[in-house]
Amino acid sequence: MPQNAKTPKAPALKAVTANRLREGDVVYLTGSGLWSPWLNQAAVSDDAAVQEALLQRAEADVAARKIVAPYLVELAEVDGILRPLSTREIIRAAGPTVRADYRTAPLVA
Amino acid sequence: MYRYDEFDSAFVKQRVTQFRGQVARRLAGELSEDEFKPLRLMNGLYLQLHAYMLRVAIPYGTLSSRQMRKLAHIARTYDRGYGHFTTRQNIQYNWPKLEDVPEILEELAEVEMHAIQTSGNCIRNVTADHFAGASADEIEDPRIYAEIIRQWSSLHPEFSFLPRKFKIAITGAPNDRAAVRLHDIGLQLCRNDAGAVGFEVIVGGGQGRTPIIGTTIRKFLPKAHLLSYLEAILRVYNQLGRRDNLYKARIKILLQQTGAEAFARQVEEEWVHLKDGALTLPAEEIERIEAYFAPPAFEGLPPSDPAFDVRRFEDRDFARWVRSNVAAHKQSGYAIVSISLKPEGEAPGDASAAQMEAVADLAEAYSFDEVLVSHEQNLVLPHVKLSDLPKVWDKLVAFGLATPNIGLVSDIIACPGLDYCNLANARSIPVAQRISQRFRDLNRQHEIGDLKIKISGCINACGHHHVGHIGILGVDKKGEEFYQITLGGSADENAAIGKIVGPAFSYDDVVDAVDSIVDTYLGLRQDNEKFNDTYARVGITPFKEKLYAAA
Ligand code: HEM
Ligand code: SF4
Repeated sequence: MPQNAKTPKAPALKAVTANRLREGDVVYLTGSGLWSPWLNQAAVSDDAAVQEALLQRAEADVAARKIVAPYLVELAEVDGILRPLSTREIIRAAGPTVRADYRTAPLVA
Repeated sequence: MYRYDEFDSAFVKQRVTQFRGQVARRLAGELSEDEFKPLRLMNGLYLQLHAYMLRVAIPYGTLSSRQMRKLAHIARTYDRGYGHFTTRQNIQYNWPKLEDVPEILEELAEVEMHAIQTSGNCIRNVTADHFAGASADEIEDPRIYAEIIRQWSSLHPEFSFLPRKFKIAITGAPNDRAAVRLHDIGLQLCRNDAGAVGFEVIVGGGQGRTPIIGTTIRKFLPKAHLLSYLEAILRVYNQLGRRDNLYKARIKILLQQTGAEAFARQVEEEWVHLKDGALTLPAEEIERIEAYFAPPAFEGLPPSDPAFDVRRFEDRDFARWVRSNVAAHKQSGYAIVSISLKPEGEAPGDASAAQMEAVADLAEAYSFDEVLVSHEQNLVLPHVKLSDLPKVWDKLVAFGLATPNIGLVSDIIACPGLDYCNLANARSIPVAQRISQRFRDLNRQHEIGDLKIKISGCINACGHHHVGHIGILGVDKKGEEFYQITLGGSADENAAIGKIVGPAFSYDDVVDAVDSIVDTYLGLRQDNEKFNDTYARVGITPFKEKLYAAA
């Protein structure tokens, strides 16, 4: 298990994550308004207003029955790779760590 | 074995149809998530860290080979090829799609299975001794009463909205394998001085953030009064239990606040109105249910078998497996086989579809079509002839199911933890995997002997850490996974809550800490003293000193 990335100076970079309603898969909101299983494709911002707008867009997709349970997740960008700050979100992004074949979406493709 | 009756069958089918409609309405936008959530939970469907999770009830842990094959089929067709057997004698699927769930429930209904009573503040799926109907120390088969309770509690209108979830466990043997002292109500079949069989009634046990050993409020309850007495307990709880605070709503808290004696008195007072009423169990009714669990047609066999003895003599691996995984049966010439779902480096309780099918085949061929699921996340073939043990073992070996570690240091209970669970602080399963790798030498495991390690990823204690000889609890320290270790817990007839040994260990260090504790034990034990006996004799200090000396 990789170490958690260092906490950057505030304000933190954030993206919106959710689960697809129909399948349950973990997804991230992209810049084009689609939902991707790849965290690295997520739209990110360190601006609270932009983050709020991303969340608003997600809420619209809740209403449109595309996704459920959206929320903001804190990230750090290291060499072009987005990585969540918490272990929980790292596991959520990449899948269970218990067996290689249970993995869902490696952080680095 | 029990087959659910026409009422159950019609009811379950109706529920499937209803849920199919609810899912369709959810996907069409007629139901919001807030409206849908309680409906899906009533059907055992959660939304977890990665995906939906479906929890399927295995009443009193008993499966036929047909049912086991269906579980395998669901794993393969609708999930990722595996299922997870839990400490509640359920199976969980970690990756079902919402749109497939009605189909899954329909397939389950074909084999008399469902996901009802696996969630919500109702009386949950009743759990029982996983050696039920087979073990040599059993007074009566506890599943008879588990089934009577199931029929009474299923969807009981008065008890579908309790202050909190409610768990009942039952054992028919003095050696408690069902952790009856750690449930809201525990029932232990026993004999009174006159030789009649009845129940010791234990109330208010539980784990979670306030672990408490249950208190016996009645030493002997005649069988006929089982339901009226349970109903009296539930009424008192339903009237007095706190609904204002989730964590205080369990009966264990009520019992602590009221005092066991006062609580027992109130139950007796309530019982006066119910006793000898409609809930009295006539002997014929008990016999009717007993017939579902009639012992299979055992052959009259001698207590030993030459072929078995020869194999045991010649094959040390087989002999070692027999030592840890085979238990005494009440019927001469038969044995109970425990199938370990804890091979080195694997997730405790996970079974692949192929493994489930192999177990189903074995049950059909060699165990009167019966499989039991243990709360220790293993499977059991309850009735195997001694002469069949070599064949059974060969097939188990071929499917990676013959790890000879039942009750040993690598037979670890672990909750799903941060790898799957939304509530977790830390991972459980990889800690179990790493411990099993550290102790990979099976001969050393056998030398260490009985040792129960139990791991939970948060204080909800789904992994029973409080009652592990060595308990491991995941905690969150500034976003990092840490593990608090407790010693001296026990879930059996000598139930005890473990004591915290000292400051928590990091994810990297926790396996070394377990190793150090085992070393301390081995250095101090006298003769064949068990871990908890050594611990009781020497206290926590020697363990502490060694653990924190290097730090
Ligand atoms: C992954 C999803 C799960 C969630 C969200 C979950 C949630 C919870 C919660 C909130 C409690 C505390 C209840 C209370 O104190 O009132 C609890 C207790 C418990 N759960 Fe789970 N659990 C999960 C999985 C499991 C699994 C897989 C098992 C079996 C291995 C399990 C077995 C138990 C047991 C035995 C308790 C202790 C009951 C007690 O308090 O006495 N849970 N669970
Ligand atoms: S103990 Fe905590 S982490 Fe483990 S399954 Fe239960 S709720 Fe999840």
